[in-house]
Amino acid sequence: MLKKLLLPVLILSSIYILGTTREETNKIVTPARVIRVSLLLLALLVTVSVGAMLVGPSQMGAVSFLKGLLSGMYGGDMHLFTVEKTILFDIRLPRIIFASIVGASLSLAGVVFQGLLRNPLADPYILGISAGSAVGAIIALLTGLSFIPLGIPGLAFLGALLTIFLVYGIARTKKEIHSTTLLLAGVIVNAFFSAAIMFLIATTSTKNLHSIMFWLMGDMSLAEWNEIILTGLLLIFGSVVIYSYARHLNLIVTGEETAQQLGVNVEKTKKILLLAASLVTGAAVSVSGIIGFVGLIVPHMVRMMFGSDHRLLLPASFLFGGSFLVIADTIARTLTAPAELPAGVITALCGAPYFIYLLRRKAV
Amino acid sequence: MSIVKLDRIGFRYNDDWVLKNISFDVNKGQFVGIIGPNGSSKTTVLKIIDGILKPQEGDLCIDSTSSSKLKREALSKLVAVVPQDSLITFPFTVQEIVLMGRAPHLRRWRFEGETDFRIARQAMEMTDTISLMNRSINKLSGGERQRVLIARALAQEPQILLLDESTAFLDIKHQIDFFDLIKKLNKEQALTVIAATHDINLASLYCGKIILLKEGKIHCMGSPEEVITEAHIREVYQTNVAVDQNPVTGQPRVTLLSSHPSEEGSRLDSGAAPQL
Repeated sequence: MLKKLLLPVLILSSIYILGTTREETNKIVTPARVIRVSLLLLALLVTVSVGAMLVGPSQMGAVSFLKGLLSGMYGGDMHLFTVEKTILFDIRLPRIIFASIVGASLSLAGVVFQGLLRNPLADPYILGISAGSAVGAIIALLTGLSFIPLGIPGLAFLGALLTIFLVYGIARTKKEIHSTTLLLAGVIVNAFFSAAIMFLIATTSTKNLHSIMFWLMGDMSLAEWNEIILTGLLLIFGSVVIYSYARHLNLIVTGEETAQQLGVNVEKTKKILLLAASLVTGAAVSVSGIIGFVGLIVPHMVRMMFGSDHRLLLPASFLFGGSFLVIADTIARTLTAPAELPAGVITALCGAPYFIYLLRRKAV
Repeated sequence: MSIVKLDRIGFRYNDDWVLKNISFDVNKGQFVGIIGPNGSSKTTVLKIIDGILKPQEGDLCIDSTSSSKLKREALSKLVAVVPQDSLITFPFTVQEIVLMGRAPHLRRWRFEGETDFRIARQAMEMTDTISLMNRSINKLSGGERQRVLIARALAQEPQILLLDESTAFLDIKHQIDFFDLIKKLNKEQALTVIAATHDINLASLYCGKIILLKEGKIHCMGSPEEVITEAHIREVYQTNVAVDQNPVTGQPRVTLLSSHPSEEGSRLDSGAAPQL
């Protein structure tokens, strides 16, 4: 009973939290406001995560949930509840933490790419960066580099970096980058890398073909703690670097020459931000595969709620992106239960129409 | 006392010299116009003064300091620019845009403080944009947006204001409003203004000194009366104009002449235009 109520309560409270901040768009960004909004969105993330822990193919009532929670807190002497404990802490919790890290990473990267390219349609997936990153990760898997520490994320990072330079190089004519050229360049690079992925998979006689395919589509069920910790650390490092340039990013968004006139070392800032965003994307893709459109939808929604100032946009997208992917992943594992869908299927099913909506609006 | 001093400045893109041997001084509080045809490198001169481009030859001094010794942030506190038009894709509010002018005065990780809000507010009051402060920059008209960009430049608290074709997309009312405001700041706050413009009449109306550029060289400079003459304009622009006095201000006034005047024009014309 309680569980049936939980989902509506969850949705209503989320709407309420977002509703209270609706009128904040015009307020100026101050440290106090950044902290307040971050706390609100952190509360949303916790609420969503707790809700997601209760939902799953194996039914779990409030009582067994509490039992599992207790045994998780008080350790091994509560043998009676080991089933609940296993489901909650070994299956669901890692997956939820994983989804929130990946969601936060992709959203953060989306904000940075959109800002640097001055294009609200830029996103790691649409620009082909996720695909490039996946090619790197697959090469690492197939050549056995996965046994070297940081082998897979390392190559995924290189793949992401290579792609961003490729897309940027193709789209750049003279000085300005046109929206349409950039998107086309992304589509082409994406198509090329997708074909490369297919080629690599088809020519491999690996037994794990099914799991590679699932990983590619954005599967979170294989989450392991060491991967979670590594991705989390890379994300924290990338976020700190990116946030230290938040104000510079505001200026770059209004034009590179303007930014320079206002005292920003534009070339250096761009390089650092591209590296950091590629690192974060590579880390997310190397563990979760290609999850599309998160980096597009989340920053756009956050911008509508809280405005365009990156000092607020970055942390808010980070936290909201986490909640977003936890919800998407929860839907993915419950919609066709007991069978599971990769989260990437859900985000693409929501994201593609949203992209068309953004494209059709005149703002682009 | 000269606040900007260019001494034999030369600039090239690859092997193509676009500025050659440019020397001029601008005094504190002066209103200087740079005019010249397309491709005469007016904008390049401004970009050298604001440090976007580094000249390969010659010396540039700003506020008696050699530009090579001026750090980017120090330069941004001295020089502000109002660009031609600035397309901003993301929905920043007017207040956010104006506060960006405070950037050179802020350290990394620092948020704007009371002083910054006060200065931004003053800048918006001076440019009559205070009523727009919560509007989104990409929903404003061209005239409103230019006023916001002046406000941002003023929030920088510069000594020198550069105008790069700042009124090219504005109608005549907004052009006059824009230059009246700049002139007021120029007089009241001794703000030095250097304006690159296509509009010779506007330059004549507002500038105390005019520099006429031709193919990257200074053709002549001086007061509007000295520079704006039929001979000079013909030499530089390769077109015939009539120059007389503005009946109200007495400043030189340029009238464009067509070699194919319209029917009525030729009927009223007393023979200045060439006969077919």
